[in-house]
Amino acid sequence: MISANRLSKHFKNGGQHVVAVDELTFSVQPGEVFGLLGPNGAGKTTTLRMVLGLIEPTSGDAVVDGYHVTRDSDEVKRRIGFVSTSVGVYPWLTVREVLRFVTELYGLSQSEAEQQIERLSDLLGLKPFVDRRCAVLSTGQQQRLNLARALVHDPPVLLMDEPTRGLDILGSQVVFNFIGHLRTVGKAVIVCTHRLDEAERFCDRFGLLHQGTLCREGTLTELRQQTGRKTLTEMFVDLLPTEASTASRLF
Amino acid sequence: MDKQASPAIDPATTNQVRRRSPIRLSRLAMKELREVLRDRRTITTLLLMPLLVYPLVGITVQKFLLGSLRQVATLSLDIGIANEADGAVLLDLLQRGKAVIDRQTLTDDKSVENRDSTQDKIAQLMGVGPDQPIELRVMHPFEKMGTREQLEDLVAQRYLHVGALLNHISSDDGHLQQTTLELLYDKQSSASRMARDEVVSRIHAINESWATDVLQAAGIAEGLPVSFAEQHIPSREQSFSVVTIIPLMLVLMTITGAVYPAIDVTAGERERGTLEILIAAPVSRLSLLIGKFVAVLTVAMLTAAVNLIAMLMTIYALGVNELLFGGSGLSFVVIAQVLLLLFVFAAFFSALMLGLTSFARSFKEAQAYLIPLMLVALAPGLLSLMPDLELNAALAIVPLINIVLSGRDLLQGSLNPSLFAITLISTVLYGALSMSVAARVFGADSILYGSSGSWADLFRRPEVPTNTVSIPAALLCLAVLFPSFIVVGGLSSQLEISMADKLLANACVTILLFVGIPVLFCLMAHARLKSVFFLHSSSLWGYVSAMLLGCSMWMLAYELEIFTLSDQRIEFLKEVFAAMRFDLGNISLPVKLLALSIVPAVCEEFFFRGYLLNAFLHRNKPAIAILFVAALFGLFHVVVRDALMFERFLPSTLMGVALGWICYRTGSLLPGVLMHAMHNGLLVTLSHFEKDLVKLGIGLESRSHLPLQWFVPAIILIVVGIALTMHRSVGNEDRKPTANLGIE
Repeated sequence: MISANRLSKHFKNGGQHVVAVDELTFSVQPGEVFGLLGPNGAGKTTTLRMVLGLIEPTSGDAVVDGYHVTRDSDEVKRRIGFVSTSVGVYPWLTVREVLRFVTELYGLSQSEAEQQIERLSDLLGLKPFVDRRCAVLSTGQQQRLNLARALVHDPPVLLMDEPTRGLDILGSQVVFNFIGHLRTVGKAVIVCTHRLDEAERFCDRFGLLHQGTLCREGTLTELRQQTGRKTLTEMFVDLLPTEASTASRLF
Repeated sequence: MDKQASPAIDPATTNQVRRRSPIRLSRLAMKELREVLRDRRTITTLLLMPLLVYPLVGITVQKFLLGSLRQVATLSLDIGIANEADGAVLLDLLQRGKAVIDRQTLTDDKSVENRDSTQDKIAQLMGVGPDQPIELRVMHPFEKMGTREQLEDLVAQRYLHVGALLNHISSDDGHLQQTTLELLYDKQSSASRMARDEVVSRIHAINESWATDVLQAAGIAEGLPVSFAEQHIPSREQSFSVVTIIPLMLVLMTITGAVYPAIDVTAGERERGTLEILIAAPVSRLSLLIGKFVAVLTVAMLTAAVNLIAMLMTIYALGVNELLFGGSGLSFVVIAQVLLLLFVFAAFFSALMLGLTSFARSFKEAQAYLIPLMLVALAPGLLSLMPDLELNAALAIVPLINIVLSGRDLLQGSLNPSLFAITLISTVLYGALSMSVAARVFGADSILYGSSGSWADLFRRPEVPTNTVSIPAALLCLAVLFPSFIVVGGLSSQLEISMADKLLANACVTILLFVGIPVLFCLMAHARLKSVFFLHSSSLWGYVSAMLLGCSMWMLAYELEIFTLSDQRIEFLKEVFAAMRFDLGNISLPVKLLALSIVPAVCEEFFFRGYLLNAFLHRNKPAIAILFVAALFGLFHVVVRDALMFERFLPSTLMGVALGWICYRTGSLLPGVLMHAMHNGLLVTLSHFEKDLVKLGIGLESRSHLPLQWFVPAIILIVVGIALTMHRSVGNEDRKPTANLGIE
């Protein structure tokens, strides 16, 4: 469903050449949750944005459902739902209006839109505040709205960037359940996070990203066999010997 | 949420159908509007400000301005004298003088008395009312005798308006012969000048009346050789003062209304983090921006309307409407004109502001960009207050100034239609340019994710050469070319050279503008000239069909032009051409062919079918791109120096479609150049031999119909030409413009 092929992104920052993502290659199947893991600045978010077509890759390409992001970015966008903590809400619109607007953006008909909004309201428990303005919602409620927004056009692929950042235990649980639901309905999901303990709970496969390079890739069992370590945190500390002290402080 | 339970939405089919539909755009705009109008800050500028400001200003005007006028209804001015004896003489002189003047103006005063007093006062304020009555008070400010220096001092310190020194000349027998009066006054003080004028006019009146009496008594004459009467005529353009202010108000209204929404829908989205939702959706940035543009424009128009209503209500409540709008009041036509102008202005301004705020990553940054724009915008508003500044072709292409001046002329009923057209065209161009720049910048990753680089990256020359031109670049090129064409074209016609040299000069200008500017743009954008201008060779069949169309299409175009013409218009056109001294008969045919057929063919094809078509083919369906460029081509032929020839639009557009289609089918610019050159060349040759042709009953310049039998071969040629292009040049699939547009 998703495949990244030697995806690279270079930036020029004040004359300095920065390699944010270096020839990343991976693929994700329908019904699979892929965890793209790494410390802050590893290139996780940049990778997601390139897959979604928000940033043009310097080289390489990503293919979503048979469409190349560099050529048919609109077709790719149509097939992706995007959840990110950096995404805000429209303070003056109600939850229902935001969802309707997003269905407009994705070109759903009105009847389809109402059906989808109804179903997602049930699924994510939006009913009590569906006609309230977003400005008055709690962080947890806003995140639930964001999850609904990403799914409202029923895309086969979901990209989630730090979906639990800033959420309490209850809010995080909603996200975990949501990801579980996505797996059962056969969506291909990429989750970026630096919370390795959480990732172990809900991801099927992992890619360990450090300084733009994919250091290891596989299921937890495969990774354990490869490294002889039990937890993802230990694997990371092993992987980055020079920066082990920094990494262990990070996680 | 089960896949089976949900009726599967096939994104690919559902969405494509409704792409860019007007309904969808209007819904995008509705969301923006809803968001902006719910914001308290918008409501404040939209409703509260005008509803509070105008009545407050109105009350202030009424209370203070009119109140102070009432107090100075009779103006008292002080005349100082040096001793009491002089005072008695002066007082006597002044009273006698006033009596004489009053006798002369007795009849005039009666008519003035009946007028409404409030209106008089405002009229006085504007310097158009009747003269103010002046009372002159003679005073002796010294205990005994004052000196000349003391009087001068008092005038300089403005204790006195005028100082008067009297000198009496007596004859030898002691009889008073003459009194000389010396007036000391301050030229810089208006009150002092008024006092001096009043004294002088009264003394003149005495002198004149005495002279008349003496002449009559001596039987020399009945009176002085010249007598005169004067009457104040108020200006017929009563609404003049308000008309000059309206454009300035338009600037202010539009700015106050549109600034906040413009920032909110661009930089605001970025700051709230909602921009990512929009950019992650399969909607073109231009569609998103058009939605935003409509919202900003609506709010700007609403603000303007509320302002206009509040202002009119205040004016009527104060009862100054007649004074401001003339006796007939404000007609609906004028209101409609004001609203039309507001619309043009607001649209331009909204586009401009969106273009600027799209660069901003935060609210504050956007404000920093808009403040200079507002200050710059005030300048042309103030310019319109200068009644001597006339709208001309050069000013008609200067953004903002052209609208403000057109607005003033429109309200005064003295607007030149072709200048207005130039104003509108250039404004639309600048607005479109601004929007397309905005579409390029809005949501670009360097704006969306500030860390990735500066926005200067967007305009940096790309390192890898490209094969295409971006639409913003094309619009920028058009926005540079159109004004240059108007200005430079106007210059060459003013040169004092022979007609043949003028033609050649024009040809050089055409090459410079239509080839030079696009090539320069291509070099700056690092685009491959060969690809952008389709400089590939075509198959032989491409040239053959171009030749067939080139020698037949002109008949169709010509008949189409005549079809749209009325007899009156034909007469008018004949006059226009005569006035332009299109005296081409004496120029040799080769020069004419070079200047009027080959050079324009090459240059226009270069720009329209090369540069513009390339840019529009990139993002649009071929048919739409060809039609759009053809319409621009048609529009370009409408503006001929100072006249507008709308009848040229349809034929030129038709030619544009044919040329664009040939270029698209053959993937080469050259057949189009050939066709264009043949088309122009045939027309030039025919008009060269006009006299011989008239004998045969064909008159191109008199715009008579072509012989019917000519159409049979013409239509055959056109059909064959089209058929050839359809079939034979399809083999050039690789070189079709679209094929070159793929990503390389």
